[in-house]
Amino acid sequence: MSNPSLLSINGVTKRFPGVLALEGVSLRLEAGEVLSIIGENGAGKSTLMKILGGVYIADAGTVAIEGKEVSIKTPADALTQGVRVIYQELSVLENLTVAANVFLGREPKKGPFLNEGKMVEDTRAILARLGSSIDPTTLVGRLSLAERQLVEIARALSMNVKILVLDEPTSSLTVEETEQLLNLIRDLRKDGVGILYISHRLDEVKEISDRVVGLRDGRNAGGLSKEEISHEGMVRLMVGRDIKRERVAHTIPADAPTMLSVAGAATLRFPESVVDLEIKAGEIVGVAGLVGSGRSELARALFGIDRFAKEPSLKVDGKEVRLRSSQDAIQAGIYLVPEDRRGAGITVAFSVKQNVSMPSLKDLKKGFSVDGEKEAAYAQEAVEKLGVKTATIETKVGTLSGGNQQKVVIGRWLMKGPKVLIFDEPTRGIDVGAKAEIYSQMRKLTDEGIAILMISSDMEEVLAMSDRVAVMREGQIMGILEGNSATEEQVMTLAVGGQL
Amino acid sequence: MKLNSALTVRGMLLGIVVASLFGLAGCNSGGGENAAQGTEAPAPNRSTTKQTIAFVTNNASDFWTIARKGTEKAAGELPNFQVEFKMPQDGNAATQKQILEDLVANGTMGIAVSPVDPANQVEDLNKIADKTSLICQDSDAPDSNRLCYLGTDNVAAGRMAGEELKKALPKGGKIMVFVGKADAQNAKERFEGLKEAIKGSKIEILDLRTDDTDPARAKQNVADALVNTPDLAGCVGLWSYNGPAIVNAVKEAKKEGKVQIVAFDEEEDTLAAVKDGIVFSTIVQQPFEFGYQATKLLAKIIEGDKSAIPADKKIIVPTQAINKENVEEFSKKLAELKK
Amino acid sequence: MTAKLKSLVGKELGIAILLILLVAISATINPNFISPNNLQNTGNLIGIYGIFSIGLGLVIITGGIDLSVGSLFALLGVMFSIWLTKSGLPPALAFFGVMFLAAGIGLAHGTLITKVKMQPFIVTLCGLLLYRGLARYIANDNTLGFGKAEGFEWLKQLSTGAFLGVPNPLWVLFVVATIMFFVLHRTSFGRYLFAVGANEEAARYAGIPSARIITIAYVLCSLLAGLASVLLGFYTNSISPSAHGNFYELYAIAAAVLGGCSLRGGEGSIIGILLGTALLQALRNMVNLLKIPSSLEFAVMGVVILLGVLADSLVRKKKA
Repeated sequence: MSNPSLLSINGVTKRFPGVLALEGVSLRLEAGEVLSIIGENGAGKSTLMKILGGVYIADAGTVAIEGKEVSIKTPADALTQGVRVIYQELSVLENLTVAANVFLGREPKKGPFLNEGKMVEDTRAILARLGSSIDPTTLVGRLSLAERQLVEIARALSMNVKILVLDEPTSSLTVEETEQLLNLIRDLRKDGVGILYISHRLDEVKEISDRVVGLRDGRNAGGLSKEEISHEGMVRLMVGRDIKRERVAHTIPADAPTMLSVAGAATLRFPESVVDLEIKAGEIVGVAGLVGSGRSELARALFGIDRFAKEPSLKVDGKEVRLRSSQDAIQAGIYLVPEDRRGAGITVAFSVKQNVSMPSLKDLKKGFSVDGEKEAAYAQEAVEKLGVKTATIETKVGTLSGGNQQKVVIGRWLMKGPKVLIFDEPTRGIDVGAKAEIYSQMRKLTDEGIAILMISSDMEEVLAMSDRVAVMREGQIMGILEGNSATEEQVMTLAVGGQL
Repeated sequence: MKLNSALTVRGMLLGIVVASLFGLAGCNSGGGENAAQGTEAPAPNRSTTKQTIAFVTNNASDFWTIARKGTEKAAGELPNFQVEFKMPQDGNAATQKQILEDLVANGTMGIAVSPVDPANQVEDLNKIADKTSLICQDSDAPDSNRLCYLGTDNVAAGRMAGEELKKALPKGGKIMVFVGKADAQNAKERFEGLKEAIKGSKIEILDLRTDDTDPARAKQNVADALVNTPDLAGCVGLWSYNGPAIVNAVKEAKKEGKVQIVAFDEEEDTLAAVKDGIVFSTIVQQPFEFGYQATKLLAKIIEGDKSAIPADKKIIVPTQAINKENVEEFSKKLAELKK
Repeated sequence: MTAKLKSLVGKELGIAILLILLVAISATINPNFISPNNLQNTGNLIGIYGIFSIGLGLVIITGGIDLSVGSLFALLGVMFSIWLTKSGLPPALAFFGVMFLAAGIGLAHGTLITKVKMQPFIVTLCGLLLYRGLARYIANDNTLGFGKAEGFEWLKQLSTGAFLGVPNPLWVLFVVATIMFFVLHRTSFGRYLFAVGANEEAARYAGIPSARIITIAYVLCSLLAGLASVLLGFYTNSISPSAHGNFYELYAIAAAVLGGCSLRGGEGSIIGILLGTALLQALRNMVNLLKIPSSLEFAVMGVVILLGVLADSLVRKKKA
């Protein structure tokens, strides 16, 4: 033991009412090392991180930094010890400038006043080190998600961190932005910062990690050295079994009827761009593109949440449809599973039953009132159809895992007999096992003749699931590729405005 | 985008506020103040040569509507003066101060004010008195530099109520007293006079309950008292709306005649109850005289004649007890004033 | 079903116990507290306050607020008095005029909030100022009233009388509360109110016409305020436009919060609001009957509301 590890966690256990979240978890992190922690949702990654960040206090076990045992009881303790955790839900304040965010709580002073000049200059220097030219006086509310993440990292750097913990940092980043972030991590590694990296995106993990540690059901599930890191190896580490990620060849019969046809649609964000698109019954059309390419805007307009800038000619199952509200879309059989699951998909405070039945209450009436028994049976059916893992249908949906929450949203529409289902980032932040289940559900739905429009930033997902891939850029479809033959290079070329 | 729409909304709000302010200002000059300028409404261009006397109340109530008639009558007799009649919206000292300052800024020559909070307004009143002729009416601020006070002697009014009560309850009994705010000067003085007058009699005051000028609470206070003290012999309402509130509650409890009531002021419901014999008597002030005499006095002072100010700087307008005998006559007179 | 019943009662149990305790203690100290006369008096007020507290409760459940209720009382009361005593409108017509005006004002609130996207606090704060001012202007700062109710004695009797010993306002509240209980806890509209309050975005994505739901909540709130304004008008029998109904919205908000409504929206129940209203009125009554100085009335209310909400949050924390 000549040189103690930068961070060593020994036998950490954390119990929540009814759940053993962590059981004797140990790991080591060296200076200048990137250690990835992988595991399904609920494996205990977040709990471990929150213990490091001082949000939770471990029931048992020790944390040592540079060989010295430390006690981290509050987020402030963590910072004092040089540990900075950047959570998935960013904690930047949108109403303050970049500089104010970077120095929040440690503002340099000139007498009794804030030293704005110094704040701005120092922030500019840190951002430059990160290879960014964001103006420190910009309001954070005007920045993109990736830029906000950068601000969080700049804040960490301004505090002289020794250990940087990143939780799903790329889940809302575009491909380019992800690449930028990974480069940044490499730079930090050179400076001797130890980095704990948590991600569901195994490609990134493979690219960036020096070592990988797996967690399963709150326990150590083993690790992989740099040489051992492979896609299959990591999946096995997480789920304890192999999951096939290859594309299953799939073709749509040529005589399948057209389920959705859109002609001349323009969204409010790109009023000059026009989208024409047809989806056949049983077909999955993946929509790829960089974040901000107008994909979600198209989805919202097709569901009647936003207005179209130009009213398109819209046909569902051969019938002309006009959308003035989401009620019209529902009437026509077009449903949306939105991107922001907790914000727009589910109502956290409601039970599984209430979430499922919400759009169908009018059909579950006895006289004027909602028929409790009918409603329960209806929700039960949806839960069983989709295999939602929940104690009862009265359980609050907020307590379920992300994958099960997503299934609740799908179940809500499934019960209404959809014709067209729009998925916006259907598996974001969902673990590998639940992802596979959602994919198989999507296939089941198409087998029943439903048309699916799937917006996704997960390239693997797009290529594996889509019968055709539409690539969007600035509100326009740049090209449509055959799913069986499309390659990542082709999609990216179109997404950045190149020619095939 | 978000910012833009927020700005638009703010802009619209501002527009609405500004528009409605102008609208209201228009309404106000159309409805309220003109009436106070006297019966022969003078042409606007001529009115600029007239000197302005202002009459400022302490709140907005019927009482002041009668006082306004007095100022109008006086204005009719004073060709060289016009009268502005101002009621602070909320009975708030700050609002009143604003009104006074605006009047001074407008070149008002004389002001008769009923200070909301005399004890704490001394400095503000002195500043006004430096710039214009200031008298207090209705409520006095004796420590200020006001030229004189014109109004009711509230201690005397309280005594009068006590004497009436003794007539109504020759054998004595338990009584309750009700008022809006116990810390108001006139409430204190009336209560003091009342206690003074019944000293030595067998009348016993159980309590003084307040309602913060909420008429519903005023009524409920009486109802609670009737429940709590089954042998309650009398109720005194120190402020105008307390009269009807007492009548209302006593009627509902079916205790008319069993509970003797002495009220203040000339609310319609109170006078009706006097006629019906439910209220023994009500002590009325003469707000018409406040308005009339204050305007006349100020006109004299502005013209340089200060002889009308008595040595003790107090002009007392006597109160009057209205009972079954004189209520008809009083009502008739009142109806004429209110026309 | 029993589990559901349990959870329903459990939520309001704290405040129910508080109410029972208060009544028991007050009645022990002063038996007059539970005398028929006093119960009638207090019941009368619970009836009036309960009606508009339910309306405000609905708005609070959607995550909104209505600060204009007290001023609305003044405006509607003034109009009602003028229509009845000066214009000589048939009483029924005057009543429906008040309700119509109330509904229109509620619709205006709802439209400004959902279509123009203004904040409820601001919209109804402006309403508070506007309606008070209008009431005073229309009444020319004179106190209006109903005198001896000549020509509409039956309407006054209906509003202030009693049936089977129970004051009519309490009967009206009983009917209103029964209907609103059904609407809030048993119909899809009620569920939508909660959904919109808990997460409006998610409600919209579930195809719920959230703008319409919120607007209806404001209309219902103003309508119930309109109904209460008629009862309150006859209760005081006089309407002083500058004082009538001052701060009444705060009593309603306090009652709703005491009864378990969250100002963040998405939580609340009719039973809770009723208990909250009853508790506030019992408190006020207690202050008078136990001869606690009037000056302490608000202080007592403040402390009890604080204790009630504190107890509620402690119970919740324990549960979670």
